[in-house]
Amino acid sequence: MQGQFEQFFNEVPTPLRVQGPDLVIRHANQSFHDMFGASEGICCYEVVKRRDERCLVCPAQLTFADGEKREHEDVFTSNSGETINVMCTTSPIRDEQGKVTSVIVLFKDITQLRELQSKLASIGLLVGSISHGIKGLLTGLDGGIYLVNSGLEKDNPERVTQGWEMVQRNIGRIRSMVMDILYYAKDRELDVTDIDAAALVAEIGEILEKKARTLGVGFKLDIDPQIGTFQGDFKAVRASLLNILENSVEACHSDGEKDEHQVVFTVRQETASMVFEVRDNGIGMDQETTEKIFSLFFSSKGIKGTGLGLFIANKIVAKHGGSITVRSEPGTGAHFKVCLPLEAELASDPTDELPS
Amino acid sequence: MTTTRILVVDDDPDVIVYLALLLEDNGFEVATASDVRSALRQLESARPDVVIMDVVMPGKSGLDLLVTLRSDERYAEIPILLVTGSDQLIDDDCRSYLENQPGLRGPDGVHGKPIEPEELLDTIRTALAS
Repeated sequence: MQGQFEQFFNEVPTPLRVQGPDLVIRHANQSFHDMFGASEGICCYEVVKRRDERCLVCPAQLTFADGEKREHEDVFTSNSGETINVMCTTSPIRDEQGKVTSVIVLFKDITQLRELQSKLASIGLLVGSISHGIKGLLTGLDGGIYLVNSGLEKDNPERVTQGWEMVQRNIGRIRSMVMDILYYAKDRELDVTDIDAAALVAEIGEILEKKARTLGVGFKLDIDPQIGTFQGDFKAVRASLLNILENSVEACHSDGEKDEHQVVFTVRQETASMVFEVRDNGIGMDQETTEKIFSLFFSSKGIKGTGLGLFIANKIVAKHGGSITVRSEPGTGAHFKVCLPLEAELASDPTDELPS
Repeated sequence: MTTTRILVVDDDPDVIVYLALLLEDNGFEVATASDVRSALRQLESARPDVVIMDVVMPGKSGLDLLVTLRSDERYAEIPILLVTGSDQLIDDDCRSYLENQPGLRGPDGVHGKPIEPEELLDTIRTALAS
């Protein structure tokens, strides 16, 4: 019979430990061993917290003191170094005289729940940020419509054209905002193929040149047509580079200081990576902005930004095992450098993975 | 009768074009600036009768400009209208920002984006009449 109970204890599908008043673990089940390694004879805080002092709040100690069951949320570190959110439940084990001789502690892994909560919170932020962005785009559309209508009334074709361009530009912005939202919402796996860098750049150039021309910004492409291939997800890399380039064009467009603006897009191959560089002479950024531009929901573009674009660009590049660096000074412009490995070193994004 | 001069400050070039034409069509003379720095330059060169400004802009914000204008006796009396897309900004940030500036007169009008042209024109006329 005892053997059978031992088996039950071992097979409980959640980590379980039994400890004495000295907090030394006397028994731990298989699930506990899987998560924290062999733990018998060691104090609980050394095992689950990797610390050598008792925790400030210790539900086991409280149960020893008054014999009551306790629930307590905590954060542990598994033996593989993973952070786990847990809900601990303690329960007293008493001797024949009713004295609490040991405490049984059961953990429920609530990491997924907490991650879900933080994702929900960030969706809330996203909704706010999108509505903010849409209001700006609606104002642009209203403006375009006003110009078209008043241009027709006044028989001023120039105004009609200007208004129509405004409508098209803002519709384009809505389109790219929707793309960003989709990339953010749907965290899809990379579809890695061999990408012909010249073909990729030609496609990007075509889209961007149009945008730059409407905004009166010069666009220069500097690429060796024989540049070769690298591995990556074509659509994701294109979206990422377009986000950076569009930002640069907008940074030029927002700058009222200089007479001429230009965005230069350079692509070259280094030993193990494909290097894409974007230089602009737009408004530039101060150091604080430079440090924050890749953060989710950070935008310095006033009403037009959702704070998604560069966050997504950075995320895509990181997923390819690449890097983005940026240098900028207010008033002089910005320089973005994207390095993508020739052979994709797919990196998993720790914030996306839910522990199994 | 001299025309009323309005300075429009917004970092979005589309909004600038839109407001400038809307106001010109309604008989106002318009000057524009895409940031606080160039707005201050415009103010030096010709004194506007009304300033319409965006709040969230790269660099200094519209609220910074509001404080600068209100604290400068040359400009303190110019009516200022804020135009912003952020409801929260109107409600919270603007209030707390202005509460930190005791004795400072707030904006003469606040409009959300998208802009209702008639409402904006009404506020301009009311501000000019008082």
